[in-house]
Amino acid sequence: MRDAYVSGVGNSAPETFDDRREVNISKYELAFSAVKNALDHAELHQDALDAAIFTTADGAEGTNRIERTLEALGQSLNIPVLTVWTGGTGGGSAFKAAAELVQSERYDDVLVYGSPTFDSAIEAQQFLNTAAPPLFEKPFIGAAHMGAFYATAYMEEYGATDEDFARVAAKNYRHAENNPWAHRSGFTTDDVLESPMVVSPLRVLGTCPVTSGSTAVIVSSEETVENNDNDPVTVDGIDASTNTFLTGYRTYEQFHKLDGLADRVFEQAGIKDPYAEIDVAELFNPYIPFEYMQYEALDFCEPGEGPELLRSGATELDGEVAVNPSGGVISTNSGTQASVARHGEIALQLMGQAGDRQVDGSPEVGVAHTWGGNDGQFHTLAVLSR
Amino acid sequence: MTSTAIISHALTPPQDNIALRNDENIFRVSRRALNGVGLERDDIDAVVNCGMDAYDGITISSGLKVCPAGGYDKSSTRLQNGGLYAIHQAKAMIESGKADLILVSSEDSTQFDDKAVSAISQEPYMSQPLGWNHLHYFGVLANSYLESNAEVSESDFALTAAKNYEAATRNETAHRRTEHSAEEVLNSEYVCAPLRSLEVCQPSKGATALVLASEEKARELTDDPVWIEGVGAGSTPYWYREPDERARLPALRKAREDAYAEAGIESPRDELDFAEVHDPVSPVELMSYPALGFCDDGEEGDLLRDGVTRHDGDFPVNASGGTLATNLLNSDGLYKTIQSVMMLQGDEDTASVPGAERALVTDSDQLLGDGGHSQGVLVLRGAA
Repeated sequence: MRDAYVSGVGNSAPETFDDRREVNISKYELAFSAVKNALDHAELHQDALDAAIFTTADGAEGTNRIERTLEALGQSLNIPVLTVWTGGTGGGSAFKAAAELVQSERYDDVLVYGSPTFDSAIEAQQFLNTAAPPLFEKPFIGAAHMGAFYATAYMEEYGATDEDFARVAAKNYRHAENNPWAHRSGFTTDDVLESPMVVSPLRVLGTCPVTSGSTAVIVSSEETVENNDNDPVTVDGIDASTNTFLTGYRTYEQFHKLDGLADRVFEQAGIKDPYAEIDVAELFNPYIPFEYMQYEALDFCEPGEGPELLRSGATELDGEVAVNPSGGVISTNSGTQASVARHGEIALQLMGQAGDRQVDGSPEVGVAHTWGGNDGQFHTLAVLSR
Repeated sequence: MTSTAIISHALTPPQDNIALRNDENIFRVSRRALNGVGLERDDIDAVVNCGMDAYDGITISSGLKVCPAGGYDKSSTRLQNGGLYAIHQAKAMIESGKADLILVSSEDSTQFDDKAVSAISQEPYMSQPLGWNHLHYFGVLANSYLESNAEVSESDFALTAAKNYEAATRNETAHRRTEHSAEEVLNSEYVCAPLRSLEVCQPSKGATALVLASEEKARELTDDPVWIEGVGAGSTPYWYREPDERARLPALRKAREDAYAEAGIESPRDELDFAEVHDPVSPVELMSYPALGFCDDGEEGDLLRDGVTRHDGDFPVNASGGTLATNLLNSDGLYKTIQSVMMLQGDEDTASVPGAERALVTDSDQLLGDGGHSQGVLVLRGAA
């Protein structure tokens, strides 16, 4: 097996990361701009691409299998356009597929493109709710409930409070102020606490917005990264985990499936002490209480100590493990773009090219996480390093 | 680097309706594929599913299917382009050292209108308002094919369909096993001129599963592995700029180049023994002959009329009956792969191609419409 690297990262223009109703730009232009920016960053021409991997939620796009119509993905070169779709984990699954295609020496340069997803949905809940098991759970469960169950269980188990959740949201909004691609930023703990309740204990400002904007990442073999000016970022470990579809079979022990996945991925990457060795993390938390469960599953702290870790400042830009320096998913697009972007953001941090959101001390090891499927059926986790 | 083999397969016979939920349907076929080589769920490293949300009627439909296919607490993923793309990815997982045993599976049980799904899969501003579906695109494709190629005619489309219907009668695991003569096909009503109803595939329901293994595991677990010697994949642009170019099936040509290069094939007719080709409408089978290098451009009509591609010809194409006989929309690539594996292993439940050692399989998602479609190509070698 040879190594796979991130050679380039590109987003559509910052102004496209806005309320979907304010972004009057076609899917074709969004795809073209993100792909072009990623190719330019990798110093590649489109002819160099061997394959592309596309990911989105078909039900939210307004067009089924919309990638067939985009053309920016290399169809005019007749290269394969693989469509990987596993829910909110779509970007993680697509990035993993790209890494495997490069590691197995099948392809040298593979484009991963995450569509904005929700920007075409007039009423996203109608489609989101079809992710639940059709006979038994769909009649009474919606996407926001999926976040609320975890949060309620966490409060009950560890005595976390509304204020704890608002505080971690405010940290993300503070980070987002440095990120031109963030949709919203600057909300304080009080702002979050005063925002309306969606599904207890989730409030509007603790829940992801509906945003447009798209992201492309290029995964390459060594040759490409040797020939461009970016610091090479390798994929040291990546894997996915699967839980049951019916939630009746599950227990709400926070993110215990991520815990098991992290053990496997950290072993692949040779990480023994995650808190000491990992410098930066982009964690997929469309419902902000997840961030504490993620700290704990990734062994940044003991179970139940997430709020304390946050209050210590360890997950700030200048902390021991900077978490979501981009502002994360509650600050911007929570569609499939977001799960590709977690990997792109980590790559930029490790390359030292994250602009004003660059974490202190030239980070060397980062992790990108995604969560998705019915009630968080899937997780993916990647360890990248410089 | 390790090679990749298919070491077990299972098939739920294609039929009109399956009175099982999606999860029950995929569970049964996956269990049988594991039983075939004495494996338990814990023995496999990962699950790769193929299928499309729109064909299943729920979003993230793989969520419903990956656990009954053995994926609980493991790595799982899903591809929407069809079975050969799932095999393409599983092979990369094995050859990158990430897995030794992978279950690749798919099922079709949800009832839906394939024309409606195709219509919502078109470009939304200028195409969707026209209400076009795959049949209209296939009609345009067949017309440009006839116009650009003086060597083929509508009667060749009918002959191709008749050849495949006849082949299906010899395959216990084909769905539609009624013979239709070329004359009968030519007399069936137009669906979208020049395509006639008996030249157009109809949906089937069923389920398919394969166990893929690294070389070491394959040798340990079976005496009869089928080796994946080459895979290739390709796509085509959405917009119709040059209709004549469409009929050359550029996505299939690209996929073929990669698969043949990997398998070391230079003269496909001599080096392969048979082919199972995705033929959603019968003209597409003819277009695929030159695209796959079975003959030069323009010679495909001769190949057909000389009987070369009949089930008992020198180079059988769709000896299983092809897509006109069996059309599993999620699972077609895996179905054709299983048919080929069975033929290579001399399994009497499918068509017989005596002495066959090497086979070619293709699959596509052209049933959503020709624009922007994907093609996959697989080269298989039996243990013989």
